[in-house]
Amino acid sequence: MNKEINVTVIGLGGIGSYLCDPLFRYLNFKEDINIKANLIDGDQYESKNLARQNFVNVDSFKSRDKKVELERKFPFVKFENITEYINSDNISNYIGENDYVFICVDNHKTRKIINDYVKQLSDIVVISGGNDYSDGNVQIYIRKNGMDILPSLTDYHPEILNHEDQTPEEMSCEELHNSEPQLIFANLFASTLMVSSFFNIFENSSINNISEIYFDVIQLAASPKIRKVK
Amino acid sequence: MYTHETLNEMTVPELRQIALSMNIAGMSKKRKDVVIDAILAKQGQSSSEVTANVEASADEEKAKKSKLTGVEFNAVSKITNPTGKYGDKAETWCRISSGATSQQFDVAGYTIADVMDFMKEVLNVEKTSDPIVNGEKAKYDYVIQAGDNIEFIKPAGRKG
Repeated sequence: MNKEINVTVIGLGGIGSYLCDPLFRYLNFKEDINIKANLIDGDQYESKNLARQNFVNVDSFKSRDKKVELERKFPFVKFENITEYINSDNISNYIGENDYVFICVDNHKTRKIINDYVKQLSDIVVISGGNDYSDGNVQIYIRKNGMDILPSLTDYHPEILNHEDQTPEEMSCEELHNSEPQLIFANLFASTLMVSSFFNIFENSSINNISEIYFDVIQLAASPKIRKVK
Repeated sequence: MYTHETLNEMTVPELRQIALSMNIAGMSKKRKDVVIDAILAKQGQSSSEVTANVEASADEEKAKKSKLTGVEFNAVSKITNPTGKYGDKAETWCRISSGATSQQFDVAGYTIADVMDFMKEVLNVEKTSDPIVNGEKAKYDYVIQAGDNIEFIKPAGRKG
């Protein structure tokens, strides 16, 4: 009987839209595994996203557009699209025990919502990526048998714990329109490190205690960090 | 030793890297001519600094460790061990990182707070960054030991 795994990608913008292809290309050809994938984003692809994000149809809902594109390429993965923003009320519908969760959102409030929810679960792998203009980081949070194996997203990042930003649902049209600039290569760097981290965990059951990787496009550098669970 | 001609042929990133290796602070955003002048000035000071370090007494070394405003010694020199006898040498290098950036600095004996302002410019470390020493959170009055790995945690990237 095949092993079943659930993969959830939250956020299909700059990082998420690039992460999906190599992730599901890799999983599609894994034998003896049934893969269910949730693609979650409440937003639409707009023409202003063309310069940086990877998608097919302008003015389409991101989750639906990605599902159609990925289903065509990777028939052995069962995709579901969810056109919602993750919040405290709906998160339990989409994340469960033993899931692999990729956080590709653009605000710390959502990262904290997910972080706080998964702390209640016994076994979960969370890989979170974020960037500023040309640099950023990837965090890996693993829980096993009800214990943190790697630090949570907020343990060493008070800016996530005490976030000052809002979710897209809470922002005004003007705020949404005036988003901060990002370099496409920062998004790519983040997505590459996220799927590479997943590969290490999935194939080798080990990430060598690396819980965070910083990267910098301008310096052409990536630096893994080992941090102790608090 | 670099000549003005040699330095002038280099790119600004190369010059800034040389300045960093010579522990010249504050060059990360300076123009090419300013960085060149700083390197040449440092070279002019190097021989006298090394001489001063060799001849310095243990008391002078202790007095020096009050506040770090800049790393004043040659990048390849070793300071005199202030607790040893005259002429003893000791390794005092530590790796300091923030985000994807890291460098080795000769800062053993100083506290985290001492080096914080200096590192802010050299490594672009934010003042509110929490220090981690050898993988564990540390206090600002922690006295840095030789071989320590110090990290000033860079805030997480927010966008995506």
